Formats: sequence, C-alpha cells, structure tokens
Amino acid sequence: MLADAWPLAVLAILLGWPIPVFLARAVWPRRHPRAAIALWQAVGIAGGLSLIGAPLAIGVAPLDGQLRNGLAELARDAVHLRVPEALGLGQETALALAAVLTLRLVGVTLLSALRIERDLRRQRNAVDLAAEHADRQLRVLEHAAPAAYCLPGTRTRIVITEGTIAALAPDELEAVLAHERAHARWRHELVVQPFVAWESALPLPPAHRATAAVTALVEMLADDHAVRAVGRPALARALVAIGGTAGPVPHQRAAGAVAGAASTPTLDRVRRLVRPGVPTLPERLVGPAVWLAAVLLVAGPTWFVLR
Amino acid sequence: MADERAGTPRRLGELERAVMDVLWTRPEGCTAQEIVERLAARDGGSELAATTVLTVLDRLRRKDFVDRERAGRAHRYRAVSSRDDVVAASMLAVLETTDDRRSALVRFAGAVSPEEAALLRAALAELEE
Repeated sequence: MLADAWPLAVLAILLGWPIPVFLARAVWPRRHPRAAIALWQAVGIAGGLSLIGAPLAIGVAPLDGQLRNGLAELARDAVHLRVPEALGLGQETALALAAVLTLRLVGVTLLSALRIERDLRRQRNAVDLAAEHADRQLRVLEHAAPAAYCLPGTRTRIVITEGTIAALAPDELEAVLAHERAHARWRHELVVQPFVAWESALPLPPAHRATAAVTALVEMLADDHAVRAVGRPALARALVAIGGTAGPVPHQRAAGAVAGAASTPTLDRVRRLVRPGVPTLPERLVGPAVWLAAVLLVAGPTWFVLR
Repeated sequence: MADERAGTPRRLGELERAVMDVLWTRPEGCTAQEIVERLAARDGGSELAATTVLTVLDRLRRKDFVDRERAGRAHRYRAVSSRDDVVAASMLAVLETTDDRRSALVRFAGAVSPEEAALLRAALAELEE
C-alpha cells in the first residue's frame, strides 16, 4: 500500500514545478507583495516537506500505509539496529534519498547563512573604515557611480555613493533612503536568504524563479514604504535616475536585461508606480484569499500526515 | 558627553578609523609609536597609550585591513590596500551580486541596458504628463 506516498508525491511535483512557474508569471503579486511573499514561503515550506515526505512514505509503505505509523515502526526497529525485513532495495533507496535531501537542505541552508554573515561582516568593516559616516547607520562612499544598498542584519548599514547624491534631487534621495531604511527596519534579508539557500541546495529553474520573484517583491514592499514617505513621483524619478544610468560593469546585467527588456525588475517597479490604478472589489479580495491559500498550503499537508 | 554615552565599542570604532586614516596617508607604513605621535599632532591633544594603539592595530589586522613586518625591535604597520581600493572593492562586491541574489544584499536598483533605460524614461514621462 502506498496510501500517503501518492498524495505527497503529487504535491511535491506540483510545488516543485508548475506552481512556482505559474506564480512567477502572475501579475497580481505586484499589487499584493506581502501576501505573495507569504504564499511563496508556504510553497517553499510545503514543497520542501513534501519532497522529503514523499520518498519517506514510499520507503515505509510496506510497514504501514500511513507515513506517521510507518516511521514509528521504522524507528522501533532502528533502536534495535535492525532494518525491517519487509523493506526491499527500492524502499531502502527511497529512504536514503529522503535522508540525503534532508541533510542537503539543512546543510546548505546553514552554510549559506554563514557565508552571507561573513560577507556582510567584511562589507560592514570596509564601509565603516573607508566611508564617510553621515549618521549612525548611513555611510557615504567616495565613488562617482550611483549606487545605494543596505547591509542588513542586527548592525545595519545603509550605503550610498557620492555619485548617488550628485545624481538625485533632495526628495529623490529621501526616497532612496526611505526605501533602504524599510529593508533594514523590516529585516527583508530574512525573507530573501532562505530562498537563496534553497536555490543553492536545489539549483533548478523553479527555485531560481522563486528567488527572483521574492527579491522583486521585497523591493516592491520597500518601494511602498518609500511612497508613503515621499510619494510616487519622487521614488519613480529616483529609480529612473539610478536604474537608468549605465553602471561601471554593464555587461553583467546586459544579457538578461536585453533579452527581457519588455519586463525587468526595475521597469516593473516604475510601471507599478506610474499606473497604480484603483482597486476594485475582487481586487481587494485577492490579498485575503492569497493569505488563506498560504496557510492552507502548509496546514493541509501537515494535518494529512499527522491525522 | 557624547563619547561617554556611546561607550567603548563606538570609541574603538572611531580609533580604528583614525588609525586607518594615518596608515592610508603613509603607504610606506608606520610604527605604533609614529601613529601615536601623528594622532596627537592631528588632534592637538594628549598622546594615547601605545598599548591602546597596539590593540587597535591588532583588531585591524584581524579584519585584514592591516599587516605588519619586523622593523628592528618594533613592527612596521601598513594598510593592506589603499582607501580607494577598499571603496572600489565595496562597490564591486555590490555590483557583482547580479539581481542581489547571491548574498541577499539589497540594492536600490541595478545597472540597466540602454534599452531598459529608454523604457524607464518613457514610463516616467507618462507619470509626469
């Protein structure tokens, strides 16, 4: 019997391919970035758990159709250092696969977190020593190319260049700073980092799309904070001024940007500011519906396995 | 006053910057004693204890901003790279994280192609009509 294995395998496949692809193409997340991020997180968690759960359920199926009981039986035998006789090579391979996937997901996530932490510490040391201290958080690098970024963490730094200050009007600069402060204040790196880690653990196109989508959504969230501080026009002008300047290493973005010039993250953000539109009633229901979907996506399979 | 309120970490940070400022203007390097003298001359105040400067130099060495070599009975300390190089490395580290994915650095907006720049300006024109 494979009672639990089939639904989990189907879920793992759906969450591993069609759903991320569909979600990455959708337009509604631009209007509901927060709900969309919650849904992506739910897809990631449910996807990871079903990806591990499916081979586990296949592996313990001869012991018990229900994953929970099968695992309990496997654990009882494992305590006595015994492999249940009912398990064939196929089941043992499935169990080994589940173990490898678990170790890989956990290991890569930890390594990725450590690497990011080390990079950030190095960057923070560099700007603390070599940049002008405008205030406790804000550092100004003596460089002509416009750039603005946030070194997130508990000791956040917001870094801009003199080129940024030169390129922007005062309200535009305020927009950039409000945007970066929102990243820092709401710890957006904690949203993005797990997706970066999962992408390195499973370097497949859907994981890549998920990271790109979540990164873009986080930018939109920060944009929304900046809009509340300075209004749409100033932020849009700042985006065009900084994003519209060819960088010192343009070739690095050029490939992707030329191919997809009809829609790039920066262009999507500006268009979103230019055409905000008035939300209709169905539009207003999208947010709550997406939140509900996110909760059900995690709670449903969890209940199913523990039932 | 401000310094007392900020406590030790902040003052260490300020000392690190002051020491780096000295080393960056002296590519050939300095001994700890020379740094003490230069800092006192710059601030017009009393000299720092040499042990304090050595502690600061040690921290900077651990952060890989400073290295040292034997010079007679003392050490000669040098900045590992110039201030411009440190700034350039910071910029490069950010610009290299295409779409900010690799290190979860969040950057305001990336460099764009000429085509994208034109589309951006067109979108903005719509806003300002």
